[in-house]
Amino acid sequence: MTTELDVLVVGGGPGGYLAALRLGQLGRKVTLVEKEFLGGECLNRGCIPSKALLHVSSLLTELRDAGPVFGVKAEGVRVDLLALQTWRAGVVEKERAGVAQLLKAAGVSTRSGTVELTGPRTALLRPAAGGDTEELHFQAAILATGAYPMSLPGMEPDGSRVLTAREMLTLSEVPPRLLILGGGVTGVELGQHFARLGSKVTIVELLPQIVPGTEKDLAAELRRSLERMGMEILTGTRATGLERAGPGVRLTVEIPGGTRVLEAERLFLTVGKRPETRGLGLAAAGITLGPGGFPTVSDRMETSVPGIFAVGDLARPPMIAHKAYREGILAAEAVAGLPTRWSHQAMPMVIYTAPELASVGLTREQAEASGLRVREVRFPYAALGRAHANRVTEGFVKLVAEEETGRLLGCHAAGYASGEFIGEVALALEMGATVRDLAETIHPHPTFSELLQEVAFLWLGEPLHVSRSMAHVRRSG
Amino acid sequence: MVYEFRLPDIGEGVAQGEIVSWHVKEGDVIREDQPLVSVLTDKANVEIPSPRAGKVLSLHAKEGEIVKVGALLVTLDAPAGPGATPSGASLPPATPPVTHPAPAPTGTPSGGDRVMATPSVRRKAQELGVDLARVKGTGPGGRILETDLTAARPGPAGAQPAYPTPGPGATVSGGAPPPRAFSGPEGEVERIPIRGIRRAIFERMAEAQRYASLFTYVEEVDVSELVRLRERSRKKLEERGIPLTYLPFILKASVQGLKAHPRLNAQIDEEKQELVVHRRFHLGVALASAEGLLVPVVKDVDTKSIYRLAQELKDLGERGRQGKLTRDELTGSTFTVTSLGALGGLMATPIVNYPEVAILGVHKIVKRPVYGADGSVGPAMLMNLSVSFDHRVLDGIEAAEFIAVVKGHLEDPHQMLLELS
Repeated sequence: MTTELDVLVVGGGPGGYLAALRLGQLGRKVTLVEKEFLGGECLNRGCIPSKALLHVSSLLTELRDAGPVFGVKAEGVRVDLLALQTWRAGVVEKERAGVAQLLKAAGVSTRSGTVELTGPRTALLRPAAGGDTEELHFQAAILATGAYPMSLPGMEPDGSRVLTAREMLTLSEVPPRLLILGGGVTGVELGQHFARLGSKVTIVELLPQIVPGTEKDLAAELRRSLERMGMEILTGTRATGLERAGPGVRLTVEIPGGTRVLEAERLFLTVGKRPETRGLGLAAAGITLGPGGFPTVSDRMETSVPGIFAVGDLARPPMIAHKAYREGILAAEAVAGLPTRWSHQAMPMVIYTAPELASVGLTREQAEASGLRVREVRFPYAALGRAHANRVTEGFVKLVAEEETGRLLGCHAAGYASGEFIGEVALALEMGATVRDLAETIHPHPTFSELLQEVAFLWLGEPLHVSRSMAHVRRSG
Repeated sequence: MVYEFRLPDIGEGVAQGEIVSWHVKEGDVIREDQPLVSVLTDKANVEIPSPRAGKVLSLHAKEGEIVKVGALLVTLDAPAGPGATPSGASLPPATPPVTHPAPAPTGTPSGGDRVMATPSVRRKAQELGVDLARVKGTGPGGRILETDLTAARPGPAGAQPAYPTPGPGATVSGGAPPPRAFSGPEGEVERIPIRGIRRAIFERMAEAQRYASLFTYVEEVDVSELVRLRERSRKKLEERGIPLTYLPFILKASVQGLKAHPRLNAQIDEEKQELVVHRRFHLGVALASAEGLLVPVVKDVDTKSIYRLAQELKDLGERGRQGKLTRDELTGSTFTVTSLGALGGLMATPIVNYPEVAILGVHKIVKRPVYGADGSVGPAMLMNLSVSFDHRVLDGIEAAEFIAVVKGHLEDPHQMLLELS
């Protein structure tokens, strides 16, 4: 028996559920198939739960480190990991129920199972509860199956000693020693979390810097902070062998002139993600794959098969939820025949460490590579009143703009709450704002958003709370 | 060596064209000037020859796709050497690619192109099918404002395929009307793509209905005299291979009507909110072709004899059905006449050839008993004329008076022929 569907959405993560909601608004009948939990990786084992944990461990750190300075006496503060996990699970569950409620209100029919395409308009649904497979025929499909964590030969996760982010987030004890293979976003975020809780953390990264792809000085600022709290960071370091010994692991890494063996109770394997195309039947549908194993998509997120769309982590990098949100909406509108296309100027990125790293738009190098003459200036947190009040004076904000016109091109920050004001710069970039637009917008005092106003005035050569000589100004050759 | 051939500037401000059909396929070895592809611009089909000899490596556009001037059409493996210079004889030189940064299909979606327009304006441009790379911004620092979009001419790019079955009550937040799709069992239907001339008609008709407020006025004409006149005259022409229909007379009578009521010989400038009245009389003649409606234009009808018009109509008709009309012959009409010939029906509500403001529909001639001036009943040849016009700029009385003039001339064709300059 074939079930006739209007629009099939595969995957209930940020890309999939927002596509379904938008299609509902557009009057379409949507069937969303999720293999596990609504909300996908982001809500269940990514963005949301990790922020819940990071918030608590940063609170703990602040009490310990700054408490005495502030006059807060809180001896014997400790974290009850079981209670913390209960709280994290509660947050996730509440959010998940919220997504389910929204989908229901939008008239989306949600099914539990996996989908395998069998042709350009047909698929098989395997119900999660078991039982007979169901043949589906659809008018259009949006694929949002996300990504899966990569493994390394001989280092496959085992659920006890070698863990993925999924298990790391639900650990209810603190490993005395924690090895992290992979210094990307997840590695540094969770690494810092466990270091705050008392783990002796070592991060091993193959590339020359942690958080690869992030501006060098931002990554360097973060590295300094992590090392200051006792974390060991080995960059440009290759892991060559893993031994699962007794209750822990022994990881062999190459160091200049030899090898070194690192021992720990747990190894967190976080070496990247791959688009989840496994078992999806892309070949049967006739969908072609491009570099990196991603399906090739148009600027409307349409794959090589008209009427089948791919969004989010499955579709293309960067693998971040807010990109998936936008792509889900775009694909939904494309299905409905609206002429929307991807035309964004800026993709903000935030790494939720202390200091927080936030970035949007072009770096100076990228701008110069595309032939622009730019000026970059840097404003320190230490010159901001509010930063002193909160005792978070480390870090800086950099602004990149076109030399001649003052048009904003990018902003990159390392410091407290930078992720909270980077959205303002995203808006400015989308609006085609100039540095003067940013400078002459009154920002509330005292807030961290003032950093933008300060750095903008500094760029213009009219600094407010810093002397001109303090400015790091870099101009294109 | 690889030679990239881009859609050349075909002239007359044509910015894009639709690929109607490819005459070559990948792997073909072709000679210089061999027809490569048929491209439809507005309503003219242009056949583009290859500027080079060589082997076709790849075609970069699908049939039915809209391509912009400067967009890559074909890559050829063309031998270098003497024969390798573009011929140029039959083709204007290919223009350099327009700076329309096409979003990379896969790469990271972060950087984006640096179009100076806010997100809401970008979305509006997509809805209107306006290419922002071609819009001059009037805002601060050259920023493209929403008002700049209305000045830019919308192209058909705004229309996108939907994969839809909007249920009843489907709403679309975002301006465009909800696209409808067929969702019945596919086995029981045949799908025919809307392409080429049919797509041009599709868009033009929708445009007329979207903007104009159409009103149709119908009048009966006694053409008994005209029937007799044509019967007497047709033999001579037919000996020369030219059929004499009623159309040349109707065109002539229409021009008389337009001279008396020039506001019908006009088009609308929506942007300036002005009626542009033409001093010349170029009449479009709607014509059925295998691919759909075509409207070749008979230029300066007022200066041409009935015989000359008959000859031109024959020629335009034949070449129109063969798809060989030039762009020049398909554009520039100031008023349009539509007739289904012998099948002309009783009346119709023709749709104006937008942005023209009026169209005349001609119907079949029937023999009916009528009362004469003396009260006696006798046979007469009767024909209805339907005139549709844009009520925004013309009132019913103007249409009625226009038809009255046309009617007077058709009922007394001898008088009309005497009056003609």
